[in-house]
Amino acid sequence: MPRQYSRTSVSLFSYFMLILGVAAIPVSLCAQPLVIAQVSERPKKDYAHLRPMASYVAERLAAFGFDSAEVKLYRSADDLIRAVKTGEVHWITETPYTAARVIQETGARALAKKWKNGQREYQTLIYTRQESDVRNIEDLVGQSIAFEHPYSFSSYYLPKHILERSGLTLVPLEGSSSMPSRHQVGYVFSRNEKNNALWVDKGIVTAGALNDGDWNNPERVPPNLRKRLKIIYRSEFYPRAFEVATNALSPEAATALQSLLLSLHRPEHEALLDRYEKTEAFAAVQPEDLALLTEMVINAGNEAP
Amino acid sequence: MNRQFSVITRLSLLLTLVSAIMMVVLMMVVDDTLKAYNEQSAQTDHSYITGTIREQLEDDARLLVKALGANLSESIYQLDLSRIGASFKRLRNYRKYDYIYVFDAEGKIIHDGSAEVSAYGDDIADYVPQASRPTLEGQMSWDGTHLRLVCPVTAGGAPFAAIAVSFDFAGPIKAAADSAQELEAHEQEMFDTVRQAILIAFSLLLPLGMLSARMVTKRLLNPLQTLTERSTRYADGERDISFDLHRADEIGRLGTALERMRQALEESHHQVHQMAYEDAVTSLPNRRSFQHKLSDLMHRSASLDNRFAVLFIDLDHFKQVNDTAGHAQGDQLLREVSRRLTQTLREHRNRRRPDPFLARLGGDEFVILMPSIDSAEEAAELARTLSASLATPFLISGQYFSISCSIGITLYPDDGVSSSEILKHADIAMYSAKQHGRNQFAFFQMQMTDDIRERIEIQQGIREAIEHDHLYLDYQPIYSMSNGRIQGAEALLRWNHPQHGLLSPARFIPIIEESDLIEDVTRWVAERAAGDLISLLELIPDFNLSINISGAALHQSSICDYICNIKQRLALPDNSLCIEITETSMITHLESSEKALRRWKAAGIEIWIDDFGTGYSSLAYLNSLSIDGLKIDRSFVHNLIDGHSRPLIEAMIALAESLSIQTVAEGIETDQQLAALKDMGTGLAQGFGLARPMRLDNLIHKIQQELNETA
Repeated sequence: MPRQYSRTSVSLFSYFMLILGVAAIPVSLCAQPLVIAQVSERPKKDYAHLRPMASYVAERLAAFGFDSAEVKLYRSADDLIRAVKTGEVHWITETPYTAARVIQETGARALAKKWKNGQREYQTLIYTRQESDVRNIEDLVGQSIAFEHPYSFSSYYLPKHILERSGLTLVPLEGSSSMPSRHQVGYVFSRNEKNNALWVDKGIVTAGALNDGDWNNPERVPPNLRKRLKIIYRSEFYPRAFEVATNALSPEAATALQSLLLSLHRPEHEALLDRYEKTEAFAAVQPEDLALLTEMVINAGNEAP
Repeated sequence: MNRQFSVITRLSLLLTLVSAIMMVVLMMVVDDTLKAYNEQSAQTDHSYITGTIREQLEDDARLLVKALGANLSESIYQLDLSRIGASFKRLRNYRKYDYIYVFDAEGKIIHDGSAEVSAYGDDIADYVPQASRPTLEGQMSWDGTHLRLVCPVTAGGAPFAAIAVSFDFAGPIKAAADSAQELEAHEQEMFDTVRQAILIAFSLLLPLGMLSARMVTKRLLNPLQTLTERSTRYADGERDISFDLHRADEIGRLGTALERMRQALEESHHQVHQMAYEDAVTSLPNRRSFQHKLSDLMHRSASLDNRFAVLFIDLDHFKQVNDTAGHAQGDQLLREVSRRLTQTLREHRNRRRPDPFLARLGGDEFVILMPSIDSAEEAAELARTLSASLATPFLISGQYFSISCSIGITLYPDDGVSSSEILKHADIAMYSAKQHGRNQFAFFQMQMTDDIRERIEIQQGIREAIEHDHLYLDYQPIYSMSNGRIQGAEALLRWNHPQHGLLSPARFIPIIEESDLIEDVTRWVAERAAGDLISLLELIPDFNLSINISGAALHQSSICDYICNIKQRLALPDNSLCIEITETSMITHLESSEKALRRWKAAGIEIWIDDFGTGYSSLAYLNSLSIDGLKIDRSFVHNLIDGHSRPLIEAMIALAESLSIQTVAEGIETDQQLAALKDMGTGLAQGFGLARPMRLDNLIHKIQQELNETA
């Protein structure tokens, strides 16, 4: 069941008003807010990250009937996709896996790659404790691994994909202290990066998975703790995030949005970019990126929880 | 010498001291109590504040940890270390703690609050300094300012983990202690204020107490001061003072007692004054009083050219009243006389002149001072009026007495310039009046002085003569007619005056008889004669010695007793001592003398009648009084030869013979007389012709000669 935050509820109300408005007057003449959306576990923080950019863009897309900006945050990818399908969202900024699903399931269009958190791209690291007997991912059979949360690309989708690709069978565990059967790899969600590292360190789980950005962030993995850990697997690099336009946005507007984003450079837009999830820059989407997005959905199926 | 403080000062000082001591003690007690209260209160405050703050902190901490546990329950269950850590980190922002641990049922640490959770999986017991091993049950204990708590974390009602935390409450507790100290300091300040207030009150109350003590004491002792002041005034001579304070208290009683004492003193003073200045018999002013009065008047008159008169009043024959009716009657008569004189003076009062002053000088002598006169006639007139007032007989105890007075008058300044002179001259004038026949008055004249000088000299000199032995006795032998030998003797008083030589008895005896001195003289004579009689009796065992007793002394029972006593004391034989009394005096004092004569007779003393034949003897008395002998008066003997007294003598001798009593012929001067009398039968003879009066030595010598001749 889709759950929305209070602000979303307000938006929903606005939406119904919009529907009523659409019924009465032509769309082109009807002023509406530009809606940007994201899956979020920390809605307050994420709202603050998205709001300035949304306003900035809405202002510049006024020609397309946008008089204001709105941020909508969803608890899960499914909720987001459902919202996209109903046309209440114009613009999405997401990590590769969620972006891929939105594109695949709603026919949305990738506009640009976002160097989120200063990262142009990132990789997933699977790690254990230094003294652990586990040396490679195959050793994880009969062990447990902690992922971050179910819609994390780098800390769930990708590592799970990697493990399964190596022929391991992954089963969710009831709790962190539960153990899988001897032939399986049990997994649990640590909810955040810090827990992920701590659990491994404390031996609650045998292994953990984090992207290299989090790994190197001392806030998330304290250096002392990191010393006690060892990486047993490094994945390929993937783009960090994508800007996606939904079908609710007219193709002209989407193109205008795309151009606008790609035109933002440091240092002239530094403040704006910094606030927008510490975006270093935007880059044009390459054909191989689109392939990757397609491949991801195919490989993973639609099995996200 | 120490300075003496007044009773008021001492009492008020004492009261002040006592109240000061009480106040100091009270102050000390209050101070002590306050101090004790202060200390206790400070302790109580301290522990109360500390206790309260601790309780508050406990509640606070427990609630906090409980809330934390509830909040983190799911996270702990899920081992969401980061969230637990974040919570703990947030907790640290507003609560200082020494440690915080989350541990599971097995005591394994789940979180230690650090970023790395380094103690994860360790035994909680190794980290928590608690006495007993921490369990999931709640615990709480204080370690100084640190509160250690263990609070269970539940899921579905059952604890599965616990949070152990130690809060450092040093700050709040110190703040509480500080505020307790502040409170204490405040209380100390208050205590000091109260103490100061008490001190101020004390220093205000002390002089106030002193003042009121002084006032109270003064008020209490004021009556005493009043009494003291009145006593001083009384002692200084003020008389109209009352000590009565009209109060019921002790001082009031003291006042009453003093008043009674004053009254007694006044009474006594009055009595003394009366005794000193008042005559006891008549209550008239006495001689001393009169003299004062006279001196005063004299003193004043000297400068005022004032004339005044003094009337000296002497009752005529008053002595006889005393002698015959007794002293009680005499005194009564004196009182009556004084009453009449006073009455007369009152009637004679003249408004223009000061009242005359009446006094009794003593005996039957009164004196009147007329303080102011214009002429001598005024005094004469008063004298006449006074004499007239006494003319009516006095009725005393049913008996009438007729009495007159002789009055001598002196005038100032004519008759004297000193009070004694005035009085003496008045006395002389009175005497002169008396000499001129009594019951009259006389003004003083200078020649009167010579007339009475001798009399005064005798009266004043006789006492001196007795004391200095200027008196002596001569003895005139009495011879027996039958054998011509000395049978007895008559004692004759002689006064050898230092200035005037030998005085004749005829000259001084009558003067003495008029005064009280006769008694003393009689005693002297009797004593001396009786002493001499003893030596005479050795020579002649039946010797008779006669002494003459004056009529004036006869009625005095004291003389009668005295003579009887002498005879008894010296063991004189009966009839050896003879008393001669003149026929005249015996008849004059017949009634009073009869008693004395009978007593003498009974005592073995012979009674002879002297100068027999010159008076008017009742022959019946001669018989009834048992007279022992008659002495035929010398006048008869003198006229025996050439005159006509022979029949009288013969009659007297016959009378004596008939009464069987003896006869003595006196004044025999010649042998012829002696022979004639012998022939006529006179038993005894006495006279110059036989022997002159002689001293005792000569008499004894003469008797011895006689005895030798006979032998």
